Amino acid sequence: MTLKIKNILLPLILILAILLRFYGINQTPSLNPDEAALGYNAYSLLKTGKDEHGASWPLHFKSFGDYKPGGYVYLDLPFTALFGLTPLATRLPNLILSVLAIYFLYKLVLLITLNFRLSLLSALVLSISPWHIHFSRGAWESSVALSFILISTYYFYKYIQDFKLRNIYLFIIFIVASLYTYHSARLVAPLLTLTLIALHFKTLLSRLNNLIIPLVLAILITLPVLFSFLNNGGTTRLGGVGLMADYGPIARAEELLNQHSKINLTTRIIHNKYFLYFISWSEKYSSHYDFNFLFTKGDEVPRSKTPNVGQQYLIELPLLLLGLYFLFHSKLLTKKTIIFIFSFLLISPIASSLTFQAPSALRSLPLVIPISIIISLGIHQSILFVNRLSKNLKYITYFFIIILYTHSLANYLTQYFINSPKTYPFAWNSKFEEVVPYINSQKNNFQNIYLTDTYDQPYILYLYYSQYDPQKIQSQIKLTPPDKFGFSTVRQIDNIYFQNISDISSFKPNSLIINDSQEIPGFTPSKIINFTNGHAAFKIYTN
Amino acid sequence: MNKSNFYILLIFLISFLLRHFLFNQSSNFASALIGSVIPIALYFLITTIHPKTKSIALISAAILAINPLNLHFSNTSQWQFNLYPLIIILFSIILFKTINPQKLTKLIKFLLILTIPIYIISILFISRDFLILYFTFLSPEFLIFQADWQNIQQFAPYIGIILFPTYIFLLIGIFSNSNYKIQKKYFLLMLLLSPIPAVLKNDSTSLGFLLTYSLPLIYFASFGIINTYNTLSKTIIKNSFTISLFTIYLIYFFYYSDLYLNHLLIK
Repeated sequence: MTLKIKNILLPLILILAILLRFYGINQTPSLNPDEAALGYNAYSLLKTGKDEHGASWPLHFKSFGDYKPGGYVYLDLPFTALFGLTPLATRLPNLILSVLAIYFLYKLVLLITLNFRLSLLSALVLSISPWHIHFSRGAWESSVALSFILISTYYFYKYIQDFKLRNIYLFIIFIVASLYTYHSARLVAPLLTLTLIALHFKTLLSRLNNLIIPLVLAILITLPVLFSFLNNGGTTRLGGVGLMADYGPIARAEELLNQHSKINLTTRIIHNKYFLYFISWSEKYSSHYDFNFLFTKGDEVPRSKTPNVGQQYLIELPLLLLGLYFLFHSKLLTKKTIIFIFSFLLISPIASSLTFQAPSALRSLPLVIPISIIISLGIHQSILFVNRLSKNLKYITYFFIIILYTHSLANYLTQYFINSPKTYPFAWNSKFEEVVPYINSQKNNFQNIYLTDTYDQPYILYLYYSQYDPQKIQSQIKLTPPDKFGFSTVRQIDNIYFQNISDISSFKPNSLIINDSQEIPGFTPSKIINFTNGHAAFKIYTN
Repeated sequence: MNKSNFYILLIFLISFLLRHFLFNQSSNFASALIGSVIPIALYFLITTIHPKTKSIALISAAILAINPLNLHFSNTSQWQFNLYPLIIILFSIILFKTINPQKLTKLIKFLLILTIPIYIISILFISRDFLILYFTFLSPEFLIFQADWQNIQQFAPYIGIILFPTYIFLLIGIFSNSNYKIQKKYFLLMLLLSPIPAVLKNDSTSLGFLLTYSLPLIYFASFGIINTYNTLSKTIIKNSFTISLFTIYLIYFFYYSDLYLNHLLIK
């Protein structure tokens, strides 16, 4: 490849990545409650120096009682200060970092394989990956944490190559930043770090004298997050969504035990809950490698999925299998590089498998990196094979590969931009951007306003879209007791009540009632706000 | 009697006893016999393709003897399904004995390469549901955790068609390099093709059509076991590996037996 083409290809890939991630970002997807919470807390910090609950500059944000790691909120501060409380400002940190992730994947693969084509292919595969695009287009902490992990890995390898202390400091800063950003990264990042240390133990040991100060620094900057996690409710999230929160294995143990006519020690050993929890964990862990999850159906959670597509393109399955084979049999990679990529592949879903919702595309997002590298290896080896064919056959094969990838990308974009908002509008909390200004315009005309709680955490979307004064919410916010998943919510802000609306006659006179699509017998809605698919999102009644 | 013959006889006996007295509720002799012959037939198929792979063949036969899917179809009501893999194995043995190995290698290679354009055509033109069902049969959940995924209560609950350790070594086996290329390619082709009848059938009898599917799965697992064993350097580690593997298989077999005998039959 000539130098000129080499210099053009990476910028082209990055431009493609930017286009795919930035296009229509203010509208698609609609802002979800988690994003709104991150954005509003950044806004609250800027205005008052406290979060929505009145805590000063916390490391974990109480939010819905789920104690979100604060990294994203702090990253969002300059963008909110610059652009105000808008979806673009809330999403910008992740948008920028996700494009940086593609750039650093290119640099990392080039550094560890010294193969320009493979590194470029890795960047290209990641830039058009449905999995990565989906979680780049939103304020997803998981994606930011992944970018930090990737950047830190690059600096680790850079240090191994040139022994410049600057690189080890950058490694520490970025890997610790991932711990401040996302819960799952607190397992994945240390495991990956341990793998890197184990792989280069001798090299690091020979430089131990130089590494003592960085090591002390790493411990010092990790301590606050560890302390906050243990003492400030950070463990609440684990209790809510952790594997042990799933009562399935206990119920299964009881069901199986009860089917025995006689319960003795052997039956108790076979059907003990710990063994069944192990089986359950194995099932969840391996489900992340299920082809249906990866290539046809994707995540089951509507907010994390695009209809009719998997996490990756179907066309990439043979390339992944080919890549996996050549990962172990190609002379392109050193033994240490193979172990690193394979360990990355195995470590990535561990945190996700320890929760009861698995497979989770969101929590297992790091998996997209080794998968992209392996698919690229498959493409790389296919190119080598195709190059041995006759000229005509070679061009025909290239033509078909390009056509198939273009078809896959076009299909994904159609599903994402057109089909998804129509298929899962409820999951994306659409139309709050319309209903909240309407509520504010009517707020003084009614004694009480009742807003349905059918859609997740409506209070935070109200705060966000009305740019509610943080000082006022801090003085009146009251969280409900946590539900079985550990989530709380707010039921009242001023004269607005967020609750289940089933019987309109039970509401006080002079009330504005905003329900979901459900009809209320005997009443005619005065206004209807529709989703983009034409179905009613909100039906508004007066009493 | 040489060692291999002794082991294969032992596998046949254990296989027959298990099928006749434990997993065959009405003690149907024919059913137990056909089920017990399949592991032996697989042994001969593997050694026919490559005579130097006796250890892989023996391990394959042993795993097949205790494999959940194959034990399940020793049940009298569905025993005729066992004829299907037996015919496929016998046909393959005849194929390898009669056709020129070089021609056969070329044919298998050609068929394997052909799967890629077929796959691409299926992405573009065949129903997505076909691929979803096909992938379901390849999923870890179906293979090791829940073969009764349609909840029709015709298979032991909470277990797949192969045992947990088989799955681990299956992955190792598939991605390991092999000196016996034709053998590996043949079973790879079988692995890719054998779920198709079950996908096309797609009803409560689908599992019966997957009996051929367990053959490549078990071959690759055995290959993975042998490969892992060969990578170990010291005798003590090799012995520990063998004992551990035997124990783990025993535990999982015991677990499956309980699910089959005490839970499937109760349901």
